[in-house]
Amino acid sequence: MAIPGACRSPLRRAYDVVIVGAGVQGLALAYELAKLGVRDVAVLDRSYPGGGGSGRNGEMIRSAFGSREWTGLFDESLRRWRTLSAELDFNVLFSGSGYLVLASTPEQVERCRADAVRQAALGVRSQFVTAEEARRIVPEVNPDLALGGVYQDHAGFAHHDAVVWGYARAAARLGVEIHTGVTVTGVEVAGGAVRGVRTDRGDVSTPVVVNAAGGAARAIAEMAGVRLPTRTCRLEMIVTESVAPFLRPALASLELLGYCHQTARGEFVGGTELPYPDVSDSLNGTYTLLADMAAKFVRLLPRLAGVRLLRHWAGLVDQADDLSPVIGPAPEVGGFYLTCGWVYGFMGAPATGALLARGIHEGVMPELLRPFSVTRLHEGRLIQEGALVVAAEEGNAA
Amino acid sequence: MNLRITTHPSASPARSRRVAFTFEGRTLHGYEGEPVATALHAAGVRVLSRSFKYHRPRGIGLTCGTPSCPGCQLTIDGHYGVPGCATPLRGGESVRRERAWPGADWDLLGAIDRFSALVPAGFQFRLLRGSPRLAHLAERLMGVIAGGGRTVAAEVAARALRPGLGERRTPLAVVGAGVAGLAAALAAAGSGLEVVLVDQGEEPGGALRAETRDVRGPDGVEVPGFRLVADLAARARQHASITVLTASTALGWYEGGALPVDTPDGLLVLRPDRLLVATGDYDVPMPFPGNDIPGVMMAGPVQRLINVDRVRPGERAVVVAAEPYGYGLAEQLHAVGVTLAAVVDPRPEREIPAGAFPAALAAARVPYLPGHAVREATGHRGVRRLVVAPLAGRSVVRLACDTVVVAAGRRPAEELLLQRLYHGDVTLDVTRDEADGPYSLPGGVAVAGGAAGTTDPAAALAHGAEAGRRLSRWKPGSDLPLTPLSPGAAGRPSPSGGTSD
Ligand SMILES: Cc1cc2nc3c(=O)[nH]c(=O)nc-3n(C[C@H](O)[C@H](O)[C@H](O)COP(=O)(O)OP(=O)(O)OC[C@H]3O[C@@H](n4cnc5c(N)ncnc54)[C@H](O)[C@@H]3O)c2cc1C
Ligand code: FES
Repeated sequence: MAIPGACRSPLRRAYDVVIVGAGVQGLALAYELAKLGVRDVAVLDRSYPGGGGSGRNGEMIRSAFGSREWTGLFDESLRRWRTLSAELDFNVLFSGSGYLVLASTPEQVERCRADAVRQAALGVRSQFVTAEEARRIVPEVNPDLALGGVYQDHAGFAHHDAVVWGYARAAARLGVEIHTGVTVTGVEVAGGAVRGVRTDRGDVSTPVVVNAAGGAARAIAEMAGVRLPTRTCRLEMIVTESVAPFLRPALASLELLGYCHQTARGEFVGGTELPYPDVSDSLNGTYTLLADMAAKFVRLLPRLAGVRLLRHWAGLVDQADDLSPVIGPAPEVGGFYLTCGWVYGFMGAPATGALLARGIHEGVMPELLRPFSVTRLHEGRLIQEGALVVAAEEGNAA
Repeated sequence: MNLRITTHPSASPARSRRVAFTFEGRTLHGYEGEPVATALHAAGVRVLSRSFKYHRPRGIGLTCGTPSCPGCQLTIDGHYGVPGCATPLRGGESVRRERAWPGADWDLLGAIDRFSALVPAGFQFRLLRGSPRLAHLAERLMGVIAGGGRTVAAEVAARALRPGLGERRTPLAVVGAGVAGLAAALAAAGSGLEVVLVDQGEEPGGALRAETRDVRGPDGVEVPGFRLVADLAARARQHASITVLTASTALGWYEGGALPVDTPDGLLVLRPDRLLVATGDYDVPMPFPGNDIPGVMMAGPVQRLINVDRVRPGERAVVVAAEPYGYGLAEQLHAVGVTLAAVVDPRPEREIPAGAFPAALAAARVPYLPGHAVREATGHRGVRRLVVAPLAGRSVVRLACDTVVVAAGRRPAEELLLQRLYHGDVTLDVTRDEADGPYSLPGGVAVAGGAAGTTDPAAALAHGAEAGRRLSRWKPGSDLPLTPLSPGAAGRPSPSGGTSD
């Protein structure tokens, strides 16, 4: 299959905006910039669109988080997800069949109860569910692991490749040039502002560079002399053969540090983490995680026993200490923007693309993005987001 | 039509106990120990399954040997997705085909394929993009069709939940018990190393199990290929330092050195100090319209069918020989009573070595079409015709047949190596020069035989033995060194090309 949206003409010597990374973040931003009338936008990627985390993620989408910062941005994103296929004129196979975060201990139940109350106060549609309700939503779940939870009936999942292709195609139609197989090797800075990028296919001048390089974001920031206090972590996923439908909503477990769903074709898709972050830039799947995922998911959904695995892979994410994204201008260098630090960057892409495009176009960051500026990390003002399902520091899940 | 070969020119042992089994309500017969798919084929069942998305009919011999051959997935005694080519017939089982309604012969869902011009690849992304509600409904419906109602049988679930066999450290693991792996295991064990030899087949021996022609053995004597590997296998089984695990698949080779093996008794996680990858090779398919119609088969599975299972692939075959072994196979097919509609060589005539076409076939007036490209295969539930055309000129030749045998080349089964070494921008740098012998990778890892690109059995034998000796001389460090190969060290392009990132 040809790469959707990929540009066939050679890389030009100058653009108005150069985006590094054709993941869902870079492509959504490119599409939205072009929609605002920004011309001459180029997206450069050393591999193929979606070759990074965007084609390797768990496809999970929700907005029921715990902080004002997160719920603001992700609820806007969820709204956009629900009409994204029409917007892009491409069916991204979004399924709004619900998202259940499961609690398996009394403490987790209390945490979910509190989250639901906070979400209601923040205007996010969600509900606390009892053990019985949770089992009604997912009848196949192991009752020992379902003591309650938070349910968002209009959240869900989408097909990650389709999302990448949809954005790429729509952006290309608006004139964005997506160049694959181009590695950015340097960022040209003079007089405190961006002048261009160096690539293995020649230098390109531009007044605006956006760092959307996923797991490689820190390296790109360093090229511009921009401090990005994040680290690269590896996450892993499995996909099974297709089986009769048994799991309707997207499901995440606080206890197992796992998240999963079943696709329309019947494949079960899921990933887990060990209780500590896997700081690595390797794309190799590990046996440790493979065994962990198999054991945990069979425990969570006993009817998976005996279902064959078809695929197992690893992907990289860029992670800040508060696990929150880093969005907006870099203070050190004019014209250098960040959309990095993404651990939930798939679900966050539709809103971030639209809002960051506006911010770059108008020169003022929209309200919803401001809390995510990189300066918070420099100043130690970490975002307190407690409703994530991801490994945080040594032995404690955030 | 009777496809059983009664008088086989070689003396390879035949299976002798006839047993009955049920197939979609009918009683059929086969021989105990032969693959279920072979028994069905011999009984005239051509369509064994339907493809996943477009419900195209699938028969045996298509991409066999690859981990994902879709040809023969059957439901046996209520267990879905059982690989019919890898499952020996016991007698008494109940066999059904999958993914078809009401049945695989007349599959109404096959209409999806009939309209495939209207539903091009990726149609689901175009469909219903404006209407979330309809899309949602369609999605649920698709799930019902796609999942095919597949539910794991209780017995299969119980098997999956058995405690594994744990971890086992071993000085040397050899994956693949073909001629190269057997020779390596014997050589290494002869040098005093403990060896675990793993093979996914029911019997050790690999591709040579189906070779009836002579191969030069370790002592320089020519013996039929199947006998050579049978002897090596018997010696390996008797050797006190070699553990032979058959019907056991090495699932992967992971960071840190874990080599999980799916054995009939459960999962065994090997932690080898040294590893020899001797996983053989695959047939390369040939791209032409209709190349997936039942009856279009690869050379390897056809050779197994006639020489191990003693069943003809069909009655009237076209052999497409783009490689010398295709001619040899044509001769064998002729010898077991398959009518050859033609032997077609798609290479330009000047590139075909003189005397390629066997004298026996010429004498039998088998039509020979060198310098002819394959245009298409036609037929629906089974191939009816192969259309070929001279490389120069506009005429076409339509060859009536029920079988097309494709010998288009071989590709190393190198997944285990790629999994570990093909990472990021590092390409696997394999020197595939047979004159160099088996090449060694850093850290006590080697590859030999078909997996290293060797196609000559005698060379595979010699290289396997040499790899075994070299590995036994290698002294392990505290851990298995995992240094990836440096990119392009020997200045050769990777056989697979590109990077994985
Ligand atoms: C296993 C896994 C599961 C996940 N599950 C979820 C989930 O369920 N929901 C969710 O919302 N998020 C999930 N995520 C996170 C999500 O995938 C990422 O946050 C998101 O994809 C980030 O998108 P991106 O566009 O920023 O980066 P990426 O998709 O990683 O794209 C970065 C691109 O930059 C390119 N690049 C890097 N360096 C250079 C260079 N020097 N020159 C040129 N190009 C370069 C890369 O090739 C890559 O294509 C998961 C991630 C993983 C790995
Ligand atoms: S493996 Fe059975 S048909 Fe290919």
